[in-house]
Amino acid sequence: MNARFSPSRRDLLRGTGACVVAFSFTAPVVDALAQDFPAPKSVALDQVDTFLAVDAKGMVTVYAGKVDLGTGVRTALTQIVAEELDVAMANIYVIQGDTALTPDQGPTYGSLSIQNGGVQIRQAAATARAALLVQAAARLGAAPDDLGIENGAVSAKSGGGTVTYAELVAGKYFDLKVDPAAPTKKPADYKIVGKPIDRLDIPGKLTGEFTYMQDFRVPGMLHGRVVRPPALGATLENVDESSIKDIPGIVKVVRDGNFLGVVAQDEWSAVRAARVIATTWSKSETLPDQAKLWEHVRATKILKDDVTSNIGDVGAAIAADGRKLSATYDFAIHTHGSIGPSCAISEFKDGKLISWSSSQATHNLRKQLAKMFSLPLDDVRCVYVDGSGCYGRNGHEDAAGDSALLAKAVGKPVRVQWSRADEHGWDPKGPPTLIDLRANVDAAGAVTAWESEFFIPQGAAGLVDLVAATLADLPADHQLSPGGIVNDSAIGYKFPNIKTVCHRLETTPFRPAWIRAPGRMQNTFANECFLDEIAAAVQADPLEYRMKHTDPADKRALDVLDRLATLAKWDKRPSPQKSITGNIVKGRGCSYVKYELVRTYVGTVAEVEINRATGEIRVPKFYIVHDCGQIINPIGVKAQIEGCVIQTISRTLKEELTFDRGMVTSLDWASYPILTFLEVPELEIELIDRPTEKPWGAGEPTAALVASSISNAVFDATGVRLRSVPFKPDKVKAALQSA
Amino acid sequence: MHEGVDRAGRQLYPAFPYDHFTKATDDDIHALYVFLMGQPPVPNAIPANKLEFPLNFRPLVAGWKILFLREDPLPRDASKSPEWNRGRYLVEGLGHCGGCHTPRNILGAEEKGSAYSGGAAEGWQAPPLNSKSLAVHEWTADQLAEYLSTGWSRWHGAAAGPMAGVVNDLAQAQSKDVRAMATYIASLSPQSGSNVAAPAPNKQVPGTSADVIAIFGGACANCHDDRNDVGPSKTVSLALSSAVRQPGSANAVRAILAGIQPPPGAPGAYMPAFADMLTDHQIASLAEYVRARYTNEPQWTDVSQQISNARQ
Amino acid sequence: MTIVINVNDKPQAIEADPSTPLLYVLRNELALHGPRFGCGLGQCGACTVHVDGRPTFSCLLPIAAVGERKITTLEGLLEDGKPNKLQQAFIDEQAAQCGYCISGMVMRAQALLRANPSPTDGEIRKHMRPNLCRCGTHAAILRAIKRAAAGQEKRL
Repeated sequence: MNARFSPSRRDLLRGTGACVVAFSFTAPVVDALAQDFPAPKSVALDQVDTFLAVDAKGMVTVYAGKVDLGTGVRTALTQIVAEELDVAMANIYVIQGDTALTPDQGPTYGSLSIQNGGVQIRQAAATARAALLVQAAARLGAAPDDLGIENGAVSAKSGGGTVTYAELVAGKYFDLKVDPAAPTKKPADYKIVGKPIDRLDIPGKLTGEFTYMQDFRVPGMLHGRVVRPPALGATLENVDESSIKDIPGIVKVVRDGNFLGVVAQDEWSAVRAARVIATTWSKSETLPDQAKLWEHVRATKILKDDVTSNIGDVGAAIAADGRKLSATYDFAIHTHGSIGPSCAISEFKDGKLISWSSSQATHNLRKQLAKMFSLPLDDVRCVYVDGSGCYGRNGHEDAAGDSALLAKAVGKPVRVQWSRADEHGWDPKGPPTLIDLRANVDAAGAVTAWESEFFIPQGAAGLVDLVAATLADLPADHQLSPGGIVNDSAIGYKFPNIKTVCHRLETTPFRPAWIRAPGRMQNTFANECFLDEIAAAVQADPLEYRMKHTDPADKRALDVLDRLATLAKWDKRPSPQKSITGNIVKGRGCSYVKYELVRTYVGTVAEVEINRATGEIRVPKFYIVHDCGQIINPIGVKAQIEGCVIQTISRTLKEELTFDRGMVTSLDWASYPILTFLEVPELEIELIDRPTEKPWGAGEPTAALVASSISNAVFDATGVRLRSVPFKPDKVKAALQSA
Repeated sequence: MHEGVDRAGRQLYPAFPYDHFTKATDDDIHALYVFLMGQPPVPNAIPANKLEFPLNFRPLVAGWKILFLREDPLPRDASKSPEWNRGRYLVEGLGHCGGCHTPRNILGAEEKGSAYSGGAAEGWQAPPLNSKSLAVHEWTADQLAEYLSTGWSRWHGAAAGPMAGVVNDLAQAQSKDVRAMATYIASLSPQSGSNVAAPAPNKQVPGTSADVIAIFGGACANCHDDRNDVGPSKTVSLALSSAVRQPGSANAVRAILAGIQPPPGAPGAYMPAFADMLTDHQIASLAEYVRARYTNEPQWTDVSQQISNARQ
Repeated sequence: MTIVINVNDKPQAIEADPSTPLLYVLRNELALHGPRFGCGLGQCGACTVHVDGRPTFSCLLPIAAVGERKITTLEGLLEDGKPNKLQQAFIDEQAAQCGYCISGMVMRAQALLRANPSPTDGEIRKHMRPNLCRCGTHAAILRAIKRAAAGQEKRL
C-alpha cells in the first residue's frame, strides 16, 4: 500500500463541553484502508472537522468526498489546503471517498471537484486558519494581524516566539462550523495555487509503487470471476460444475438467479473456470436491430417533454417568411472503455460489509449495497481506491456488487476482476441521441427563430442499478440514470426566438449512464454544427458569426473567441473552401460553448485532411482556448484538455457500440477500436487564468466541442456535412458520393 | 495492361500480372489511368532489376508470352447470370485471383488445367478455390461475399497475410462487385452442400508434452476455446481454419508469428503476434499439436522450415 | 509445480500452474505491479514487459514458455531504486492521467530508445502503436519519450 504516512489507530477520547475557541475532542487517526469500521466521525458539510484534521506531529489530513480519477484532483486539493493553511504540501495527506471518513460532497462527476468540492474544502481550511490564528494570538500574546504562518508554524512578525499547529491542535477536533465569511487568501498572495505543481501520484505510477484498486490486496482474500449471460435477459438454465473439476483450487460456484460466479484460491484458476464452465442459458432477444437504431429511437414512447429554453414566440417566428433550414443529427452509443477493467474487493465481517472499489460515488454505492443486502446504511462502508480512468459511471460499482455477492456466499473477502468482455459488454453505456433542428434566417442573414428537439432517455444523474442485483433479482432502485443529458440543449447565442425541447423517452436499448460530458457532448455537437450550417448558408465566416451572436456583455466569451482566431491563425472567410479538388482535401472548422450556459468557456478549431477516395479523416492539428476562471494547477488543466480532445476525436471518428438482437458484440478493442498513436493530433492550448474569478471545471467542457469542430472542418474541406457520429470512412464516402 | 509492354515497348516480366489484366476492357483501363494520374506525384527511383542471367534478358519474355499470354477478351457466358459474368470478368481480369490461387509451372506461368487448385504468395499458401478445397464447410457465395468484404467468415476464419491486404482493398469496391466475384468463385467448387467431417472438440492427442498443453492453455485457449461458437476477437474454431487444414504449415506458422490485424481503423478479427513471446521450438510444437488436435489430416513435415522462412 | 524464471535479474521459483500467464505470476506471486491487466487478449499493451529486452505482452506468455529468457518489468528499470532516464522524463513531462497504461508505455518506449536513441516523431508513433491509452495522454507520452531521447534537463 502506498501511504505517505501511516497513522496508527488511536482511541477516541470524548471530552465534555466545548470551549468556543479551544479545540476539543481528540480526533481518531485511522488507517483509511484498514479492514474494519472506525468510530463515527463528523460528516456534516458545515463542520470543519468533516474536512480537516491536524495531528500531534502537525500532519494535516484532508477528508475529501471528491476523488482523484487520474485527474490530478488529489494534488489540486492539497494545493488549496496548503495555500489556505500555509502548510507545506508534503505535510498534507488526502483521504478520499471513504464513506466512514469522508463527507458526501456529491459524486465525482460533472467537472465539479474543484468548483464545488475544492471550494468547500478551501472554506473549511480558511475557517480553521482563522481559528488557529486566534488561538496562536492568545498563546503568544500578540494581535492576530501581527501573526505570520510558515509551514504550520505561527509567529508574531514583531518577534517573540512561535507556536505550531501541532501544539495548538494536537490531534483534537476543531469543533467549528465552517464560516462562509472566513477570509480566503487573496490570489495576489498565492504561492501554491495557480502554480504548475507536479502531481503527487505520478512518480509512484512510473516506479510501480502506486497502488491501484487492481493491486490492492486484503489478507485472506479469494479470487472471483463472473460468468455473464450470453444475452441480456437470458435466464440461467443449467450449470455443470463437473466441467471445471480439473481446475485446481476452486472454492465455490455461486449461482443466484441469473448471477453466476466462480471463486478460487488463485486468480488464474478463477479465470479458467469462468471461461470453461459449462452453462446453458435461454435465448433472449431484447435489443432493436442496430441497422434501424434511429427509427427505433424516434418511435420510442415519450414520457414527457422538458422545455429547456423558450424565448420569444418560436411557433410564429419559425413559420414566418425567411430562409428555412433543417437538419437531423445523431450520435452513436458509446462505451466508457476503461483501459483497466473494473475491480473490487468486498468482505462481510460480523454481518457488516466493506467494499473497496474505484467508484466515483462511494456514498451512492453504499446506499445501493445496503439496499441490495438489506443492511442498515451504517453497516456498509465503501472505500475508494484509485482505478483506471472511468470517464463516468463504468463498471466500478458493478464490480463492487459482484464482489459483495460472492463474499457473502463464501464468507471470505473476494476480489472480482472484470474481464475485457465484462467491461465492454456490461458497463452502462452512453445512450443514443437523435436531434432535429430547424431555423429561420432573414434576408440579412440573422437567425429569427431556432427550434430543436432532442430524443433522449428519461432520467438524470442518479443511481444506476448494479448488474449483480439485477441478475440475482435483489433489491434495487430501478431508476434510469443517463446523467444530466438535457444540459446544453439550450444555446447561449442571442437569437430573438428560441425553443429547445427534450423528449424524454421511456426506454433506451442498454442500461444508460453518463460518459464524459453526457448530453452536453451530443447536444453541443448538433448545436454547433447547425449554427455552422446557418453561417455557411448566409456566406458568413463561422467564427465571426459566433461572435456576432454572443451577448456583447459577456466579455469573457468574446475574449475566448478573439484569442481563438489569433491562436489558430483563423482564415476569415465563409465555408466551404474554394478549391475542392484532388484526393486529399484540407479544411478548418470552429466551435464554441459556454459549458451548461453558466460556466467554463471554451473555443476550439480543428484542422482536418480528408481522403476523398477512402473517406478517412485525419486531424493533424487542434487548437483550444480555455477559460475556467481561477486555475488551481495549469498542468492539471492542460492534461484534462488534451485528454478531452484526444479521447473525443476517438469517439467522433471511430467509436460505435455494435450489437445483435441479444447482446453487445463489440467486446474487445479489435471490435471497438480507439485512437492510436498514429492518429493523435498536434495540440495548441491557450489557458486563460483569471485568479480573481471562481474556479470552474476543466474535465469535460472541451470534449463537448470536438465533434462539431471536426464536422465543421470536414464541411469546410469538402462542402459535405457529417451529421452522424462516428464519422467512419464508409459514412464519409457515402456522404461525399451523395453530395 | 493488355500486352505486357512498357511505354518504350520493352517486355515486362509477368510478375506484373498482365496475363490477367489483359482481360480488362479499354474503358476500365482508361478509368484506372485517370485515377492514377490524379494522385499526387512522388519522386521514386526505380530500383535496378536483380534477376540472374538468362532471366534478366527481357526479350526472352516474348517467348513466354507466345506460350502463355492469351489476349483475347472473355466471351460472355449466356447460360450464366449477369452477376456471374461480371464476377468472372473481375476475378479473371483485374482481380487476378488465379495469380495466387493457381499453381505455377516451371516457367512461372499458371498451370493450364489446374486453375484455382491452390498456389502461393509471399511465403503464404493460397488455398484451392475449386473442388480441391480443403474447407470443412463449402464456401457458399454468401460466405465468400462476407469474407471478401469484411475479412472474416463465421465458418472459415479470418483473412491473413497477403489476403488481408486484398480484403482491405476490396472494402473500397462496390458491394455489388464483391458479390459478383463471390458468386463466380463459389461456382468454381461443387456446391454439393456436403461438409468434411471435423474431429470432435477436445480430441486428445496422446504423446503431447505437458509443456505444449500448458502453453496452449495459457497463450491460445483464452481465444481458441472450443466452448464458444465465436470466441473473443472473432475467433472461430481451429477445426474450421483453412490455415490448419492446408497440406503445408506455412499459413498456420505465419499466423502464429505475425498475428492477424483487423482492417485498418475498422473493427475486425484479431490475433496477437507470438514471434517475440514464443521460441521457434515452442511454435513448432504448438503448430503440430493444433494440426493433430483439430484435423484428421496427416501431420505436417515442414514446420521448422516454414518457421525459419518466416523469420527471415 | 515449481518453475524458475529470471525476473529483473533475479531467479524466482514459482509455484503455479504452468499454463499461468506470466502477468498473473508477476503481479500475484511476485507482487510486481508495474505490468497490468488490461485485456488478456494481447490488444492493449498494459501488460508489456521485456523478454530478453524485447517488448512483449505478458498476459499471453505462459510461464511454461519462459525458459531461461530474462524478464524485465517496470520495477526492473529503476536504477538504485530511482527512476531511470525515461521514467524520469515521464515524471518531468507529467505524462500520466490515470496512469494505468503508463507501465506498458514505458516498457515499449524503452525498447525503442535502446535500439534507436534518436527516433523521429513518426518512428515513435509507429513503434508505440500497439499500446492503447484511453485517457488521451498520447501527446504527453510522445513529449516524454522525445525528452528522454534528447536528454534534456528537468523542465523549468
